Amino acid sequence: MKKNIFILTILALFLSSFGLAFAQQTPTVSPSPETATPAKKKNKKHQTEEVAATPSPSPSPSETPEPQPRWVAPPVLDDSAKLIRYQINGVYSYDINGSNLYSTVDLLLRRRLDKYNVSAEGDIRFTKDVSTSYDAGQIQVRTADVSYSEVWLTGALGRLNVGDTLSPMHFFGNYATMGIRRLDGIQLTLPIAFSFGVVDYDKVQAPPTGLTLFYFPSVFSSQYLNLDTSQSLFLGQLRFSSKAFDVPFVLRFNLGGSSTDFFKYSSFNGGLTGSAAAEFTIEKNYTFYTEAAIPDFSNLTDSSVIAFGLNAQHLITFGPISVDNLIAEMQVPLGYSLDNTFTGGNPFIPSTSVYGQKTFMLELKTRLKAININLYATNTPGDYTLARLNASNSSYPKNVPFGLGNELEGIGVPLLTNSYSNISYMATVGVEW
Amino acid sequence: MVKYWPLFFIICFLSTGAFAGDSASDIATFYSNHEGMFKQLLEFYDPGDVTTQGDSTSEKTTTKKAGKRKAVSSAAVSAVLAVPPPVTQVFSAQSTWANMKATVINYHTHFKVMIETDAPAEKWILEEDKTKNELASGSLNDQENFVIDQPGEFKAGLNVSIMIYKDGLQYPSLLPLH
Repeated sequence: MKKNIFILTILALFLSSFGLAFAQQTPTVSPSPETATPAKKKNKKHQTEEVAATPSPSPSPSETPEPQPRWVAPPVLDDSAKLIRYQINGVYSYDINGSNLYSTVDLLLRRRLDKYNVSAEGDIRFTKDVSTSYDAGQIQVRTADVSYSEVWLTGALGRLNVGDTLSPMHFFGNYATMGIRRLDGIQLTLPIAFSFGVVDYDKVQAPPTGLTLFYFPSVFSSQYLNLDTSQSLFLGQLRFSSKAFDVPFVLRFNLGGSSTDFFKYSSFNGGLTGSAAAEFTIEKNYTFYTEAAIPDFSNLTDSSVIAFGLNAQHLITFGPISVDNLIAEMQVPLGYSLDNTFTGGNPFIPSTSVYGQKTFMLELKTRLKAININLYATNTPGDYTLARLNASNSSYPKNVPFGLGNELEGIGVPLLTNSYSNISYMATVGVEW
Repeated sequence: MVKYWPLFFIICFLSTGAFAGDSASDIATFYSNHEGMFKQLLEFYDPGDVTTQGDSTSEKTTTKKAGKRKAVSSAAVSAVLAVPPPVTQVFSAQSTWANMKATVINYHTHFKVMIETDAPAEKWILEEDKTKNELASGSLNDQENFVIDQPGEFKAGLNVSIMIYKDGLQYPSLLPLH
């Protein structure tokens, strides 16, 4: 026992002296390797002062402010703020244009929000049809926006992806922009909080609210583009979120207007356009949503529409196959008019007019380990979108499409059929990393 | 050997005092300055083992069983160190883009804020509510859980602003810590 104590004592003495020797080396670490020489001098001075210093610390003298440099270099971005994602998809579709088989390559570029409060996003797509050629069929800049965020404001400009902001629908919806999900413009969002009631008596706090303002110089394709503000569209959105019976929900109210009457029964009617949407999430993986719209307030009953949807996520995995999403949506016209071009009407050739009908969209997202396999089907001819315009029902030149129809989620391409009784479908196989 | 660790610990302290430098060069002075702590630690010894080593500091020589060690309670440690125990508070808030929850643990020398959101976050800012003075900030990689460790005592009147990534943009969401 005495031998053990002796050994312990010697060991303790050795470790303590070793530890203290190491500790005495650390207080004077050089602040930066670029200034090694001046740092050494600082350390020596610091060591000298340390020996002579009294045990109680004395307050340091006020530092003299350094003069601001005349020119400041741009900030150096940390690598963690840069993000690049890649997506490759093989696509087969059978729609209004017949059978199509092509590939897409997407580059998703993102600068994350950093200490300078600036972020940016870009989405570049290359498409190539099936052939022996190496040439890309199309190069698209799908999004390209720069944003600035403070605690009281978010601003963005460029090519914005506004689809998910304006509407909870995955395929139908976005009636205020005629179904278009990506637009060039400016967006400003302010989180606001307000309460209402009688002062000193009772006060009710409103649920969290976001006010967003949009300005789009034009929503038409490049062949019809005119930046003289005649094609501009203003939109405002109030967004609330709260809970009812432990079910979280989000409400969106969109209201806007255009300056020129391009098309009756559309949101470009020279007057007001508006929509309201609600989204309820049950058990975290099940979302029910709806959007009702009045595209043209001057033709309120004939242009109104409502759409419903159900999104079930993370359903099941059996073996290597997972069912990630099942989405079902339906669009129901609330007004029926043979003059409404956007539901099949034709004021120029009335004999070809049809009434609008209910349309649906089904989407199934599956995954074979890391390979995404998505299936889509719909019977919409593009109701309530600019894709409904054709050579016979509008006075505008028709040699090129006036606008796109509803876009499928994920792959982001339109899917249209030529009549309500025909079904178009699409299958995509792809990976992302 | 393992059961002698408290004695080993004390010997280390004594040795450190011997080599410490200007304020603890006298071992006796060092021991007398920390005598209360040493006595507390020695109470956790098995008194039988201590007496066979020749240590006469323990007074309980017959009542304890050999090999049994007394548990160290958090209250006893706190009393020895004269530091109040940590205080935990939970705050939650909802914005139009995310639901947020913060668990604040005040260790009095520093405090931790453990935050959970139901949407990815890109940045956080800790600030005073009245003066809007920014105390700290940090970047995140689309995280839904993160921890802020801030020196000093936690005081009421702080906010955490979280930049939520949603629909392709970053939206500010306020989480008050009061």
